Amino acid sequence: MALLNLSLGSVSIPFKDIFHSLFGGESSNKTWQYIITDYRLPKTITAILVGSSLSISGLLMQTLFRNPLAGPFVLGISSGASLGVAFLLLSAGLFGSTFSNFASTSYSMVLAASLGAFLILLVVLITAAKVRNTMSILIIGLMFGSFTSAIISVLAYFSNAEQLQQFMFWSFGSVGNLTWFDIGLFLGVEVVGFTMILFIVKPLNSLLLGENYAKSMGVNFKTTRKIALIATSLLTGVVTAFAGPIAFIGLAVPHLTKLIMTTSNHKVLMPAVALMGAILMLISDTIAQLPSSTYTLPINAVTTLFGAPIVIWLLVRKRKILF
Amino acid sequence: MQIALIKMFKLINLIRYIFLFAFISQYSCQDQVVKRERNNENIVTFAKGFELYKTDDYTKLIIKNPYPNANKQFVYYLVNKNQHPKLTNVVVIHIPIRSIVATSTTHIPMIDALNEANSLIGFPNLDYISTPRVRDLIDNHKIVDLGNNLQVNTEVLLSLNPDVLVGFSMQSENKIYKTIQKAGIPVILNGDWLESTPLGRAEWLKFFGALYQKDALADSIFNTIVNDYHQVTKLALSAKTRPTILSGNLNSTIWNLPAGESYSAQFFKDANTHYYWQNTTGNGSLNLSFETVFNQAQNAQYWIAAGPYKSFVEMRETNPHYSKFKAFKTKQVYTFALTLGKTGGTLYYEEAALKPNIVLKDLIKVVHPELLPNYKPYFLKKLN
Amino acid sequence: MDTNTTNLILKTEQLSIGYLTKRAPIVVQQNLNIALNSGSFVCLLGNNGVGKSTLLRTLSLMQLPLGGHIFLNQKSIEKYSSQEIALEISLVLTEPIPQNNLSVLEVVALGRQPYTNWIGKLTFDDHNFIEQAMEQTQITKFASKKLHELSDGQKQRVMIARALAQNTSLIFLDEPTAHLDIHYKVSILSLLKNICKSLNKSIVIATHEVSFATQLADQLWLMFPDKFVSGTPDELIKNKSLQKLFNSDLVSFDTNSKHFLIKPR
Repeated sequence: MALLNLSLGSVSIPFKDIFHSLFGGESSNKTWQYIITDYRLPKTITAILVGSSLSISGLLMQTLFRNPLAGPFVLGISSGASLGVAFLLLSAGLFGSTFSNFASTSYSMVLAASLGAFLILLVVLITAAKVRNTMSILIIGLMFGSFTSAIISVLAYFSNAEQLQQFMFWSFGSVGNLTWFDIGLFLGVEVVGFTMILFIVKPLNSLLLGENYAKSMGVNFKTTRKIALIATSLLTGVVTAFAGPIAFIGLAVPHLTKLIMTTSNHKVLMPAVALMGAILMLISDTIAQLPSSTYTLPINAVTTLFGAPIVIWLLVRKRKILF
Repeated sequence: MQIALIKMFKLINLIRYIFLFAFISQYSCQDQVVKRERNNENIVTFAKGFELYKTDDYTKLIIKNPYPNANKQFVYYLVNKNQHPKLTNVVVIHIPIRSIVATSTTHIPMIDALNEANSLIGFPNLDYISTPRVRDLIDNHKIVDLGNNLQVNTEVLLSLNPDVLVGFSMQSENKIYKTIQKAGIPVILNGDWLESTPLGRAEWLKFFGALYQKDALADSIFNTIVNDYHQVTKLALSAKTRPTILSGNLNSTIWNLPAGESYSAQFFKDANTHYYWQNTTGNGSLNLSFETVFNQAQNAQYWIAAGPYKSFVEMRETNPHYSKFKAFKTKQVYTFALTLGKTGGTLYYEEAALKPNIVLKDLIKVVHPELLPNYKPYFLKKLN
Repeated sequence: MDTNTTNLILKTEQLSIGYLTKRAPIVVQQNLNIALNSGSFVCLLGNNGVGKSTLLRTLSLMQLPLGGHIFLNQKSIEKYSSQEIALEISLVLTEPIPQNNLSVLEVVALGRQPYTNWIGKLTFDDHNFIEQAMEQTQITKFASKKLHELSDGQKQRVMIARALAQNTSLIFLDEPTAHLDIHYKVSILSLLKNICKSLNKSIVIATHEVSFATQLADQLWLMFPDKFVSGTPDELIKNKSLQKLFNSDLVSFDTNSKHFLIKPR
């Protein structure tokens, strides 16, 4: 799938040249070589990272909240990130243009998104510590989401076309345009997140029987919940920062995987979901490039347009949502 | 949220078209068959969006292309206040108008060029205006801010009660304008942004000339512009090279650049350059992938109008791929984003419509510097 | 009351149970002095809402006591970590199990979690315990079926097998026979009694099955709104405590049949 993703794009490049570019040989065309090694390859890797992070976070949240509608963004993380970026890009309209000079650079966007996500997360975690009921956390997360969208609307209303446009494009999501350094950073955070999750695979399995059963089998529920929340925010935070709020993958991939795999064991599910997420993201990106056409589609539209019918079809056929 | 975003995006895309690349809508042949007034010729030559017919009693103004893909046209009869010709069932506007509310910055320099800045009493978002004489009036609180330019504050506008509102519209239905018209304030839709040629856009000066009854002044200013433009075009033809041109910038993953039949592409053509997408159809903008643009224009000699960026550092930080273009490496990137007015408005968006000759000279100074040795560019600056 | 402390597995002193709220704690029961011998089969009886579930939850440290002390193996229960508690007490709860795709084998294997390493790898020993637990509860034949494919009675057996696999000296069950038909009720209760005796485990069941309880239990714990009484079924019938438990205008206890009967009008 990754190879397919690499070989299809607006510019058709012979497979021989792709192979040479990837494995150290000289491609016959310098431009092609750059497109392969510095544009398509980072894009492919980003797609894999984004897909796996979001899907695993989604699975985590669905198990933790025992809610099929939970996804990586239920904690208000994407809204937080959007708020950060919105403040960065759109606040010029409200508070003068002092910001706007450094606003558009990618690092300030990443920083703003991370800060926003972290801020909302912090508030959610503080409330979560006070709230016993896991379902309330879910609702609180959703409320924060609505709250931030409202602020963004106000900011959007007062900003000019160019700023709005920049914000719109950010919110469409994109897996392109990451440098190798970005990818290194991305990968680093992912490794941390995945390591944390590895340690709660066991309690997650017992959580399938419910919070009380899990506790009776020695699970420290609060610690598990804390690790799950932090890992999710790390993963979705970094995804949103680098690739924008990518819709659908986090919600749907766990369902898809469970329907296909027919197991709930997280030891099997985790890697399966990660793989599935990566594959789906690669397919979406390949479609988004509209191979051999000069146009591209926003990745967010593709993930949903092509993913949603698949989930609906699978659910209609199987009729049952299982965790 | 998603739906709202998409809606917003549509809107924004349209705004962008206004400011960056204009396009003209295709209108059918029937529209061109206009009933001629007796012995009178349309005095508009380059612009395709409006026509003017002068009679002894009145001037007939036809707005042919009020909004994109328009399938109807608007006819106004401009009548001198002291004359009372018998006209029934038509929209009459009494001229010369004394007060006006404009809605696009492109209107401002035209009004100013006719020495009528004093007549401007309202405008949405005053910060966008840079024209010095109008800025002075703003500083003296002579012009009322009407808020957001897509949602003009209706109440304030009604209370201003201008002789005419010159609006622009992106679609046939516009609730705000309807309300204003009901209140007895004439609304004329200005379609300058839909013109696909530089001279066509500049000719909208005659539209304002007719409103202020300063047709002669408008004609003479416009003729000067036309002569200068033609002269410079001829000069460009004497160049020995045809440098290659790249334009636009990436928005996320989509590279927006002017289509072959657009306003901007016309400048590239007239400056005697080789713009890579010269032969594409369409008068709006192209949305291409990075790969396509990189593959085709990696070795372009000049990069003209490189988005909103103000420095090479900002460009590279926004997107590292930019630095792989030859024009970036050789520092041959030029932008309109560095020429700003007192309150931050981009001069190009405001003044270029009336100064196509200057835009063309700027461009020639960049690509054929030997042709204009002593010229100092006005809009187009080298990125630093 | 039996004072043989070596045989005593669980003991409470002046225990009060209930819930903490913002304004004031809601006390459900107080001054509870309970003693539980190892290897005994105990049925906890009482009206709805009297605090049976709260007591079981408090004894297993799922919720904190409002006052008093609990001693597990002569050691204050507060000194146990949740992991250590899981080695001593296992639970079968009334709450419905969320829809999931776990197989019977996987559910029973979850019972081994307190013993497995950080990633939950099952050793040879663990497999032995799982197999035994499934054999004792007679669910080996649908080991590979999914939990959601089973009937309620079968599910209950799976949950008991899971508790058995946890291999604790104490098992608390909260209404394990609710929603089951009489055949399953008897089969589950006698299964539990059997386990209690053959494996020398202490089992406490909160239940409404008075007649089965009086027939099977070594000890009955009776919970009244204002007091707590324990003793063997015969003792409690003799001192009329059992009779008072559900007495009302509608039912009365028949000492001979050890049944509550509907009062004739």
